[in-house]
Amino acid sequence: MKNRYFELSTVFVFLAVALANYLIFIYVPNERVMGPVQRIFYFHVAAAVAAYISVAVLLIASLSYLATRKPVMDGVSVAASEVGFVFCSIVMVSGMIWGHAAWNTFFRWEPRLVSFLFLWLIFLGLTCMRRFGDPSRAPEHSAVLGVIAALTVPVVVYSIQLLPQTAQLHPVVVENRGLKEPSFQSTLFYTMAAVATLTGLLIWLRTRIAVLESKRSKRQPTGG
Amino acid sequence: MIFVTLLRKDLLIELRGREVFAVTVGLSLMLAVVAAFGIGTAFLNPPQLSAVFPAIAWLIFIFAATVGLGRSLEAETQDAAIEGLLVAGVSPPQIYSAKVFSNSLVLCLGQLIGMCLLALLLAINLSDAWSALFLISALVVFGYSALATLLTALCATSSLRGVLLPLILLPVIAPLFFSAIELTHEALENGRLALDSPWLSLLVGLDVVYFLLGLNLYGAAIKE
Repeated sequence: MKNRYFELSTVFVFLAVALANYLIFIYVPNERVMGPVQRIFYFHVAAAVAAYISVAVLLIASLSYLATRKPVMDGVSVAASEVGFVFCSIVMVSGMIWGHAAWNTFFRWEPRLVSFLFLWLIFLGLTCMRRFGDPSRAPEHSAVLGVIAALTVPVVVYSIQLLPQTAQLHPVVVENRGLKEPSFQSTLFYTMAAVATLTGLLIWLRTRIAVLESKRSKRQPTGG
Repeated sequence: MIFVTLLRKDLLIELRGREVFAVTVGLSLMLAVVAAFGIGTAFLNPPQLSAVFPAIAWLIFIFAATVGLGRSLEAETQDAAIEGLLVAGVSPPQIYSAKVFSNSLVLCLGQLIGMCLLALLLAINLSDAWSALFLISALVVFGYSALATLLTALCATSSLRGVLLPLILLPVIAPLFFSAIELTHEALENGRLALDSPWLSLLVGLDVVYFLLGLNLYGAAIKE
């Protein structure tokens, strides 16, 4: 029965993401100043939202694991840290491509870029902890690091804003209401929703794999 | 009372072996020489020198202290010494607080020596701001020890041991060092501690948060 729900959700998410691609590449007109490069923006913002969703899931899963010691919560925290790492990488790469087109430079010491760079490094640290940490204590240790990492994210975002903002370049599109064309707005919000469902599906899939892995390692204590 | 006994034990171990202190001061000296050589070839004028001094001084501290602390828990993990303490009825928060205070004392001493050496090599006058620099160093080193002591426990049994510590520590501790660099810069410029600076509030807040996190999570990090 569980598999049935998962298969149905996969079909639903596939169609949602396909529609998002249709909207981004065919439905939305070219932006006047930036041209086709502006279409990166929809993926970039949606991936950033997905990375923040992963951080929230990571915090909840790590705290629940420390409180209940249920293996499924450890699985969710593995899934959230890996999915978050992937989306954070997408944000960095798409931002750099866009930045090269818009500012003629891949990276600037600019608040939002730096805070995402640190978020990426935090996810990298979590992955290293899983990979190289003590396998017999991995769930507890990763949950402890998961709590610290997830709580660090808002602190990094706040502290970066205190740095001198002489190089403030990042566009603040939504707050400045820069999306005048209604199709830009609807596509952005639709893509954000579609990528959020994709994030949920990927976390679900990775959790199932992690639970199966932990069952297998319990059957084979020597590993294999 | 138990806390004082544990603190005495930790300081005695350090006094006999001098591992953390020797590694921190030794590495600080070597890195200071390399940094001073590199800066010397750039022919910076005195204002430029004092502008780059805080970042280099704290970078040297992060590197030296992380390498120094990487192996600090090995005495406890050998022969299950830490389990002995737990069986004797000592609680994880007591073990943690004693370790944080002993590490802070040793690292603060190492940091002050390292910073003075770097200032000597770069001909920077610290005498006008010594009280502010001492206070900033004490606050930063306490926050650093609070988080590093907790994360050292996560790395103690990993396959990479001390090498894993910088990978998981540096991304999450970044906000502490942003405030350290900014406050040191302000102290060198004005000769006093900037009491109204948001960086000072951030630094004190992070010290409290890291210490509280450590008190609550150290048990999950060391207990089997």
